[in-house]
Amino acid sequence: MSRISGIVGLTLGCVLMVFSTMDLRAQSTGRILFDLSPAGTTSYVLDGKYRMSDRQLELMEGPHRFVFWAPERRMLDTTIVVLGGGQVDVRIELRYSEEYIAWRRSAERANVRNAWLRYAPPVIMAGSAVMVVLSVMKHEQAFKDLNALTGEYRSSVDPARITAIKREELPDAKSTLAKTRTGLIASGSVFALSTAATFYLRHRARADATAPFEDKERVRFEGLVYAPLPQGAVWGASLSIPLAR
Amino acid sequence: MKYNLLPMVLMVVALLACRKDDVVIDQLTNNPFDVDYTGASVFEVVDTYMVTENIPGVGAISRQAIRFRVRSDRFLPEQSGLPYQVFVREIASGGAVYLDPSAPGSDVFIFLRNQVSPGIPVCLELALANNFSSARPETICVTL
Repeated sequence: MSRISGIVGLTLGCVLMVFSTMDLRAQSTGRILFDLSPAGTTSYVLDGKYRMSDRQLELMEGPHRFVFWAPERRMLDTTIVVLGGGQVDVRIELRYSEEYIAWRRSAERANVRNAWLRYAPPVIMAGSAVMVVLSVMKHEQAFKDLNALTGEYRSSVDPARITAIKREELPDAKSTLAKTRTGLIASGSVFALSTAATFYLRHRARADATAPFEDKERVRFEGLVYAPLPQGAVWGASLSIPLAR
Repeated sequence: MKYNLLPMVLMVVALLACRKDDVVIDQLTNNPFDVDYTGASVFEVVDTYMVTENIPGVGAISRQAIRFRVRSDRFLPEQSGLPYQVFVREIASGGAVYLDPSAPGSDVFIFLRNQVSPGIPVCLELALANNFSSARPETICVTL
């Protein structure tokens, strides 16, 4: 009996020792040092419960789930094993999200297009305004030349000169006047069109500014945090409203 | 708003600057010095008479003078007082000469023929001239 009780006692003692050893092992912690890129804006959710941005963590040993995220970056869902009494240096570099890359390409294309639309019409308008002024001056000179020849016809007493005026110089002057009138109308039309285009595009550019980037990864990152509580698990959701717009 | 007005002002200036060409070359025929002149005759006969000149060593020579007037009142106002000549061609003989007025500033010209043809009409082709180019020719005929 005493032997049996001794065996039971030994067994209980071993069991207690095993339990105490397990307890000691469960209490062991390790340290994680993060080197995060982009620095300053990267945050993470630890084990689906805690949203943090600390660069140094003291955790119980064993695997831990991390979901890293930074604005405009793709989420990184990974598991890090913490060694008891040890230190793990973890370098995390988040890549740009596909949505952000697509948005940035689209924004760059829109910027180039908007730059053309914004700056080309005013440049054309200024150029055509100069052309209008030059055309007015040329047209006025051609009109003066025509009038001078008409006046010379009326005052000349030289038959050969009169013949030259009528056969050659007046037709040339009339042709020049017609050409300068065409040039004036053309440059005036270009000026009118470019002026209208300038005002229209300026008005449209104000109303049609490039839409800001909507970070869907952020919605996913912030949207769902699972928090198992003693009373029951909770899914936490959040909503971001950009007030700067 | 001020900047919006500027292009409009420039447009209006451009529109107002558009000049109309109302010169019709074919209708420029009112200058008497023009070959294409279509107005009334500018020459009129004054008279014709015989002139006798005594040339030493040769003797007396008779010539026929034909006096005519240019209607300078039919000139354009801008041509008033400007000097000119008259091209004269005797139709029968073909002889031609550029004449100056009989007196400076006068509109009267005198053409002297070397022959005298009493009772026979003498026709002359006259044209206003300058710098050896002549305008529309007209014909006058006189009989001594």
